[in-house]
Amino acid sequence: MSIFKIQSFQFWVGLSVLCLIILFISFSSFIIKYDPDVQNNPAENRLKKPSWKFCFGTDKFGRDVFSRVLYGGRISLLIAVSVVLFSAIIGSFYGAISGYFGGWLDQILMRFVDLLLSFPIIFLAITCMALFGSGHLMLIIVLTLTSWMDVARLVRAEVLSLKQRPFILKAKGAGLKTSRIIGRHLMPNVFLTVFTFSIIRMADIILIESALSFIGIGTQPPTASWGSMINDGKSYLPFEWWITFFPGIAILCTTMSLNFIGHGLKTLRE
Amino acid sequence: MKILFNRIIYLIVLFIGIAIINFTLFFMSPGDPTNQYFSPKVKKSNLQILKQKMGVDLPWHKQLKNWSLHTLKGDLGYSWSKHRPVKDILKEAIPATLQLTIFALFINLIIGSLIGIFAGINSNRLSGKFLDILTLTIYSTPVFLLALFLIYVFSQKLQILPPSGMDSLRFGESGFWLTFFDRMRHIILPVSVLGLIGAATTSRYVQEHIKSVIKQDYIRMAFAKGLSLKRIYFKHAFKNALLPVATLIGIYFPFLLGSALIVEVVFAWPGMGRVTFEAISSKDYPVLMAVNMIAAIMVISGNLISDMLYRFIDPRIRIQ
Repeated sequence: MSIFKIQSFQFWVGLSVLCLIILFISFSSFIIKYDPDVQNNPAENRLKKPSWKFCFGTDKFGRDVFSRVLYGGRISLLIAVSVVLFSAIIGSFYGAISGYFGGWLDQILMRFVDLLLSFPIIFLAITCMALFGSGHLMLIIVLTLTSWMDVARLVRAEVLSLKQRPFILKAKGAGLKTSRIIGRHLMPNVFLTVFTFSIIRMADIILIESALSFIGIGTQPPTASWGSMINDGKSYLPFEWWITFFPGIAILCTTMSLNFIGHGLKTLRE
Repeated sequence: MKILFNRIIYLIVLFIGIAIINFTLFFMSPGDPTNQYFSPKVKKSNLQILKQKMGVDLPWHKQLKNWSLHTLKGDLGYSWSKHRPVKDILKEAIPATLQLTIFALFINLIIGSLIGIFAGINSNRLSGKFLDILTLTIYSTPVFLLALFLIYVFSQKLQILPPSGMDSLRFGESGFWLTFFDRMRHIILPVSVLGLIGAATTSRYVQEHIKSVIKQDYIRMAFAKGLSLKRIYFKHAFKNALLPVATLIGIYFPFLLGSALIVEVVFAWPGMGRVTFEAISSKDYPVLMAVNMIAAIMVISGNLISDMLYRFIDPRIRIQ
């Protein structure tokens, strides 16, 4: 089951675009000429069009939009990766325990998941951010707490069918410890499912994070994030379009490539 | 009937759980309502009296009891920033949000199903592949970006639709049709944003189902019998492929409310999202608490509706 078997054109386009984005973002400190958070002589460089000097233009404080897009991408991707990673870990174990043991434990655990899923994510996130303060760490915690439930449901469904399979029955019969059966035999088999789901989920997390930053409760200024940059630029829209356009394109490219990759992986599973 | 009854009981328990979590979140938050009166001129002893009066010095379970009794009576508290009862604020906001979401839901389901059917049937042709990429692109677009783009095109460049608000300012003119058309002009952009992004999701879902239904034996049988394409699709394929759309309604409610929040902020639409947004900026906890509860009620009833609808359309589930 190698990924080279995926023949979807979209998958390879998505993968290459994502690699390019990650490359640009990780080496951003070597590429950029201006500090993203520092105002470069605002009186002179304010709201400059894209040019050779500032290739994506500048914003109202004379800050270079190009370096802000790259740095904002760092924050957005960091948040998305950590949220997806943590929720995959929490959700997998929760779902595996619930599915493997079954019975009343399963009932209780799954009803709790139902309970949390009844909150619209954005409302729950907003409430938490409003009550306990914003910031990157808070964003990661809140988004993880609101997004592990889907993974749990997915893994539980998978484990329910896996535990009837001969190799698990045999492992049980051989007297293996439950922790070993779950860790060594069940988890590797749900890995691809969780991975595919996480890739698609990452796009959603980037969308939610940028939306929260857009309405002003996610990443706080002066730190750049794609959502807050668009919020800054929206009042300059008809004329100074570059402040909004470039971070917007950055979000769109990232989420699109993630979704393309996710759908390519889905075909691999089928 | 028994299933319906069980289901409702379960949802009520769910609702109580949500209420407790909601209350606990606010209970755990740092500070208390008397902080807003804090100033050098106010004596500490007065603050203490105020705390006792508001009941915020009581332990968790007593405060929870007070809050739930008040909420059950329909008393949602008093907004700290707007100095009006929360109930009045919500009475204005909820209809505005419902107009937006229900309208968007219709557009979403109709356009989404149509595109999904077309893309599913033509999945091996160029048109199907194009639609596949197009829907995935719209699906990946942030709500606010699409909103800003539509405002840019239709309000700023073409100047044919208003960029924000729910009604225009009018002096001396009134009448049902005038108000109606004015509202329609205002609602087009926000509803298109919500509807388009939802339609992309629906169409991807429908497309997958059509693809898997077409591969099934009874459809191959229908082809083998030499039935016309129209008959195969309309009589046999669509019925089964569109069933799951009913369940989507339940899933869409949280999604719609969340997106509506962003859309309302961008378009200055005076609905629940806008109220929430203002409540966050001014730390208006009674409003936030009430909005959360209303959102949860909407989501839970959305779940119930889609559950019942599914049972109603698909007899197989009723029998199980």
